[in-house]
Amino acid sequence: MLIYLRDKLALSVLVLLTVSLIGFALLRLSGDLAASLAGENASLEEIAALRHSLGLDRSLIVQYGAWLADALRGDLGASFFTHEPVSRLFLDRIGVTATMAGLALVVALALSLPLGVIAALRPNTWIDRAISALALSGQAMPGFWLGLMLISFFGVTLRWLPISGSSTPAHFVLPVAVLALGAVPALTRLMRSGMLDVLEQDYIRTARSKGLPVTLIMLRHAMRNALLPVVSLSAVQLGALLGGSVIVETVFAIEGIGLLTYRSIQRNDFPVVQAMLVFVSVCYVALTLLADLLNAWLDPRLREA
Amino acid sequence: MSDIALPDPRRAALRRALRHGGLIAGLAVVAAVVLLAVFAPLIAPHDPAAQNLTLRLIPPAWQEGGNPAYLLGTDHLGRDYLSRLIFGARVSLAVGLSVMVLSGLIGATLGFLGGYFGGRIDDLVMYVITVRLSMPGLLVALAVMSLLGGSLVTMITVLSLLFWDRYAVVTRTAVRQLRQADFVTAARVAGASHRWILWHEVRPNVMPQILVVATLEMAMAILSEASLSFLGLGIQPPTPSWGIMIAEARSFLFAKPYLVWMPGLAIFALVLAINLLGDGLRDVSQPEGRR
Repeated sequence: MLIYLRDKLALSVLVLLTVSLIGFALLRLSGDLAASLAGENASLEEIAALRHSLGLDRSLIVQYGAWLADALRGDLGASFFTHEPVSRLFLDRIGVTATMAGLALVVALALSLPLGVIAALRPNTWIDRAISALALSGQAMPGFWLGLMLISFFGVTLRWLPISGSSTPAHFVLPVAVLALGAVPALTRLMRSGMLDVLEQDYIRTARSKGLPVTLIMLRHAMRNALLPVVSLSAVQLGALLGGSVIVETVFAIEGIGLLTYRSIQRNDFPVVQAMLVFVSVCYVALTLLADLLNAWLDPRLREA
Repeated sequence: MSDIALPDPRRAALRRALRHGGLIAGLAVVAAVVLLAVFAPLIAPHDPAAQNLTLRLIPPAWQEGGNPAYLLGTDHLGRDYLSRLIFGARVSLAVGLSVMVLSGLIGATLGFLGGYFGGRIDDLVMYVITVRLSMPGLLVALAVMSLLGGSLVTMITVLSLLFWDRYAVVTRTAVRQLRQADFVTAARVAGASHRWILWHEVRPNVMPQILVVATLEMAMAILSEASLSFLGLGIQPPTPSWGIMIAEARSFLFAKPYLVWMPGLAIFALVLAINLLGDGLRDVSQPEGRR
């Protein structure tokens, strides 16, 4: 188990280094940062001076090394525009985004686990098909459009809910709904297929033939095992929810790290964008690692792989 | 000796396909949108870019103040909404189909290499897949598009380079299972080259699964294009893209909600149809169980 843990950990660190390097290179090589920052009217000398003062005239590897050394000490640099430290910009806003993503995952699981189980218990009946159709429709719905539709219906026509900002709990209802509905289809499908797989297993047949009550079989034997892949996917989904926060926070004008990232992308505020890319990657890698360990702990066979 | 007619698997699959309601419905909608996109100049009643400020924000024809010449009304610049919707299908399909093919080439190649050869090569492939999965796709796309500037070509390139992961994962798993199959061993014993085996023995057997992923990726690419264009970092106006139309209509969300409704419904219908097609393909190619 310890060796397994060590290998997984080493791999995660390596993956994160690669991701941050790729992100760094992509952002630096995709355009002339100094030229876009200086604006259209800047002279060549002004651009060169700006490039030098930001350290953009050094080689990519040197720049990356400097960034990494600072980042490991917790210094993510300062915004090109407001000159505030990136870490403070993040800390001020992370709470809102994390609350939304966490709530959305809870809501999504609360919807998709029962839906998936119901569909798996009655495969190929009308209820299974209805749930499949719901999942397919949810998958086809662009999140930003759903957000606008909800604003138009609940915020304007019915006037039930506030439509922008994040000052009261009511402000979170619509954005959390949009984020959650984005995660429901995949989770429902996985829960359904996981349950179908488990229900075919011998130990379920044994439990049934022993005459155990169906609810007990479902809760004690089936659900527990079908949940394994769902745990992994939930980790993936939480990462996706952080990425999706860019769209949802833009639509609902919520001051979280998503909106911060969007604004920073628009004005090429490189340190902020780089920090967000790495932040989401770290979350993703940490969560998948956690899910892997959880699964390995639950199922010893996985430790061999 | 044996004159029992074995059922032709292809014909059986075709028969299942024709009986599959979702597949037929999805196929019909996709075909209709393709026709609209291809013949857009012939079908669209107006030039999608022609502005007429005296005809701004006309409501759809069935509403009060509507004009039958502008069936779905006009936008804030007096452009015919129906024509813009029809031309918008071109952008969605161009992005969807190109990304589907290009990312498929990248992902399937990686999957074939890793799944078939195993060992070090597979370790490398798995590493590349893990790195890709650890990067937030939409965020990277947004950042790179913003620096490169939005155009159809950059959009297709960026999305193709990002969204090949599912192809790679599915192909790798499928090929791994086939690697030990008797007919692959037989071909190798008979002296066939790796390249020949991959192309003639392995590829036909994983094609159905790749096709299912292809539909998912096409749907994903269309949704991503719409999101990026909505955020102003994708296709640039005045090109009619459904995402841009929603972004432009956003300021009229309260007064003219149908301007937001319509392009969104178009995206929804096309993506749903593609998903139905994919689901149907999976049912037809893997009749032993719906998963």
